[in-house]
Amino acid sequence: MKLSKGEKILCGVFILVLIMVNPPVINIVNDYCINNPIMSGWPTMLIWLNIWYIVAIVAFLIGALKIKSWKKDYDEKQFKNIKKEG
Amino acid sequence: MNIGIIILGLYTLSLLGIAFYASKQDKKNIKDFATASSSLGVFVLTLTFSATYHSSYAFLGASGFVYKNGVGWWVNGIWTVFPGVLFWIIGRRFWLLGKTQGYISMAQYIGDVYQNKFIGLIVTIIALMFTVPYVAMQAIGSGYIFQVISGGQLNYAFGTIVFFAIMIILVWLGGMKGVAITDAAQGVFMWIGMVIGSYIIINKNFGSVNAAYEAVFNQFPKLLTLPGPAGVVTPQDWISRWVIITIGMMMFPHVTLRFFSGKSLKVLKWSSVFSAIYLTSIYVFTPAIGMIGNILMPNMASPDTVFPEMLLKYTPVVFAALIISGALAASMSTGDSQLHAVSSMVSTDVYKTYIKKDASDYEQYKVAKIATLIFGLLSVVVALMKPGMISNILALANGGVAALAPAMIGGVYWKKSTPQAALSSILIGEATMLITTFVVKSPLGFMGGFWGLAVALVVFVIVSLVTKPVGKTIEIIDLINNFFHAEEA
Repeated sequence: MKLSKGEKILCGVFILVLIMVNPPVINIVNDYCINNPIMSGWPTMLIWLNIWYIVAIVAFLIGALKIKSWKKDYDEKQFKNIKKEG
Repeated sequence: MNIGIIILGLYTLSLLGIAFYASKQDKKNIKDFATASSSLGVFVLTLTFSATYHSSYAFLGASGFVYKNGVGWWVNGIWTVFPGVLFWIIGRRFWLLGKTQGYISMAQYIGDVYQNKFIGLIVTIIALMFTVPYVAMQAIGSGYIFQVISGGQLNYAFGTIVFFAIMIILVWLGGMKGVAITDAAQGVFMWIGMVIGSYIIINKNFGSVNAAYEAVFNQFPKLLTLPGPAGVVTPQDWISRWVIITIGMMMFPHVTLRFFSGKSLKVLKWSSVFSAIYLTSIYVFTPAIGMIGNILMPNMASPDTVFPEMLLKYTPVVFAALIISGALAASMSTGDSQLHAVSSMVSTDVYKTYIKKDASDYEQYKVAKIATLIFGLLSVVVALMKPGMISNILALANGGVAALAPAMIGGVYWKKSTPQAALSSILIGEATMLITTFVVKSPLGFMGGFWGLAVALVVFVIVSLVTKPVGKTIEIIDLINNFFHAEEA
């Protein structure tokens, strides 16, 4: 299985998001939050987490719009040809 | 009569009306019953996946957890965003196999991909074992909600029985189509209930969300950081929670059946994107609600009911009753989907595979309906026994099915996956999960389900490397890769 450039970028973004919302990064953020629990009226930790969740959702949305192999739809006739070649 | 009960009655009637409408389109065969003949569109598939994914936990457990443990609850965001991603990344592969190989269940798939029916049987047994208590959990949630909404006039047992009867009727009447359409309606209701209901409570008591958080900061600052006032949300707890729930949920039969139910790949893709948005946005005010619960209703014995109780106290009764019906929507939309999945599995993976191999589609359809009744009644009995805490059932059930993941996912991605690896990873993974849940509890602070999944993965990789794959596994993975990645190769 070979991933397209778009899929590789998306994988990178998802991995980055998971790193940013997990230990040890989240522990560092938590240390900051202990001294600054509120930012612009919202919990700092909540803002941090939501930023990364939004990044993941937006990346997923862009992937759904842009990645070519994700636009492929099932076609009985085309599938039969692929199966024959395989 | 209590206005809450009247609204609940009307709500129930409307659901039954939708199911009755769906039953008119019933084709009376097992494929239609189990997967709606792969006919669901974006709107319905998004909401049936989302509403099924989030159970009574969304309405009750979530704000209850924040009430006790604070902002650490929002680790849950990982399992609101990534299930949508996985629904597409993994789900499209199964969708294609449903189209090309005719699978309508994961047991059919795993038995075929590894050319070993025994693995299919093991998967069926494990899925049944861990789904039935989960169905019962929805009934427990419904029972509590019923008690709250009727102001204590109707008891827990009555609520449990009535709502299970409704769930059985919903599945019986419409199969997947009926369940999916009612889920869609309930999904809309659930979103409005949680988002608008929360906002009204916050606004009425504090004027704004910012002011609510400021008040929490002044009185309960520990709610704003990890590990929370009770020290629960440790790094190990954090990792265990999202790993088990994200992966485990994707292995439940009521979720996997939805892989096969989309009308097209385009529908599956957009349902996945919108599910991630829906599931994340529904919790926008939940942290605030759970936290201000400590100010408005301090020292609650059972924090799980903090949100419905605040609704009843701070919003007009008609509105509160309507919104609390959203909580029932959350319970019922998961419960009916689970009941439907269990009965479909019994019909296709037990009856057709082991009891009557030449069973017609209509016979399987009838068996599925009878199984709905039997498992529905069984779940009511379990629910009336009130087994343990809701959160314990959730963790155990998710951990139990999470151990299936390496074998399930390996069969569509990794050509070196072997039947021996699949079987040993499932059995050793389940054993590990049970031992680390009940005997040596949570070693190093990680939950039992996490250990079950980790050990299953290691066993799967090692055994795959020392045994030979079967031709069918390679054939299926080639077929999938040729379809999705032909242009990149």
